Amino acid sequence: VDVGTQTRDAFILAHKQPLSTYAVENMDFVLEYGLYNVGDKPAQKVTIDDRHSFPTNSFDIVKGLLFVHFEQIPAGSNVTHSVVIRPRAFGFFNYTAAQVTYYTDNENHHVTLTNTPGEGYIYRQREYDRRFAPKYTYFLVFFLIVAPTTLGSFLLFQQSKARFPNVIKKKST
Amino acid sequence: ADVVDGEVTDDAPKNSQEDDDLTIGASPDAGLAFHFVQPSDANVVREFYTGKPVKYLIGFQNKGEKDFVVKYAETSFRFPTDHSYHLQNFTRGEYNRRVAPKEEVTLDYGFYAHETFAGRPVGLVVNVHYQDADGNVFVNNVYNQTINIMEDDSGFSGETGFLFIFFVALSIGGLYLSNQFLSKLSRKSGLSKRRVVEQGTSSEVDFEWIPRDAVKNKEKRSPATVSPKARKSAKKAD
Repeated sequence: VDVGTQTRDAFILAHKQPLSTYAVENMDFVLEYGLYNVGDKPAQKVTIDDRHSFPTNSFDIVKGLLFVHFEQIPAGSNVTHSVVIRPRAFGFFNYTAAQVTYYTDNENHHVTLTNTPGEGYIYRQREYDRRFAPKYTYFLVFFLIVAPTTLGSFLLFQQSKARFPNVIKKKST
Repeated sequence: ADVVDGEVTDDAPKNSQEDDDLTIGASPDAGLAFHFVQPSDANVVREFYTGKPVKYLIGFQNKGEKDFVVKYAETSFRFPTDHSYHLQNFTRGEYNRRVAPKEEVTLDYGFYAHETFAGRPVGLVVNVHYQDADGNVFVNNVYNQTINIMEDDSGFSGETGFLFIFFVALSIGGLYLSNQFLSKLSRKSGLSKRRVVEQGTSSEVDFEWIPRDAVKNKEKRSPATVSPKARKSAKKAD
C-alpha cells in the first residue's frame, strides 16, 4: 500500500502552550490550544477538556472556558482556543495534558492527549514586581536624595545673587 | 524512503528493507502524524528562516491492544543528496509518554536553524522511537524532506545597527576635519583685520578707577601728608 495515496480518517493533533512568558500569582496567564486535523476527512464533535489541569483551589478562570466543543473540524484545517487563568499561589506547578475527544467519519470515538508543557514555576508577585514593575518610587527617592546638592545649590546661589542688586546699576552709571 | 506530510503507517519488513537509516522497523499498530506549527506555512512551502523558532507536532496513535511508550524523537539536518551524512543533530526530545490502547497523544518539539545554514537546502529528518509493553523497540520516520533555509532579512539586526553607528562616527570625523581646514583659511584671510594692540599709556589720567572721595579731597591737604618737621613748626607757632 502506497502511503502517499492511502486515505485515512481524521487525525487531530492537539497543541497546548502558554502564551504568557511568566506565570505570576494574582496575574493573568494565557493558554492557547490548537487543534490540527491532519487527516483526510473531517472530525466531528470535537471537545477539549482541561478542567482537571487547573483545579479551582489553585487557579481562577478569568476568561474563556476549559471545556469547549467544536461541531466539526474539516480536513486540513485547524482551530485555536485561548483561556485566561490566574494563579492563586506561587510555587512549582506541573501543567498536564488536556484531553481532546472526537469522532471520525465512521462514528469511531477517539481520545487524544495534548502535549504537556511540563513543570513551571509560578513567581511570587513581589519577585515579579521587583524586576518588571515601573520604577516610579525609585525615581522619587533618587530625586529626594539628589535635591540637596542640586536644588539646594541653586537656592543658595539665588540668595547670594539677591544680596547685590545694584552692582550692575553702579557700573552702568 | 520519502514520506509525505501526515500519517505514516508502515510494515516493519518493508521499512527495514527500504531505509538503511532505520535498522529497526515500525509497528503496524502505531499511526504517526507530523505537522509544523511554526512557521505555519512550512507544511506547504518547506522554508525556514534563520533565527526564527521552528515548532512542530508529532501525533501518535495506538491502534493495537497493548500499551506503547513513546521514548524520544530525534531531529537532524542531513546532506540533501546523501542522507547518511549528518550536518547537525538536535537535542533529543525526551517524552517517555505512555499511550494506552485506542488512545492518541501529541508531542511537540522546537529548534532554531543556525545562520550558517542560510541560503542552502538541507534534509530534515525526524525519527520517533517507541516501544511496546513487551519491550520491543520500534522506530518510525515521520518527516524526511529537503527544506530551504532562508536568511532572515526582516527587522533590525545588530550588525546593521553598528554599521550605521560607524558611518555616523565617520561623518562626524569628516565634519570636524573640514571645519579645522575652513577655520585655518579664515584665519589667514583675517590677518590684515587684526586689531592694533595698544602700546604704552597716554599721559592723561583715567579718573574712572579712582574713588570719587579721593578726587574730591584733592585740593584739601590731608594731615597724613604733612611732614614731621612741618608738624613741629606748626606746634611751635600755636
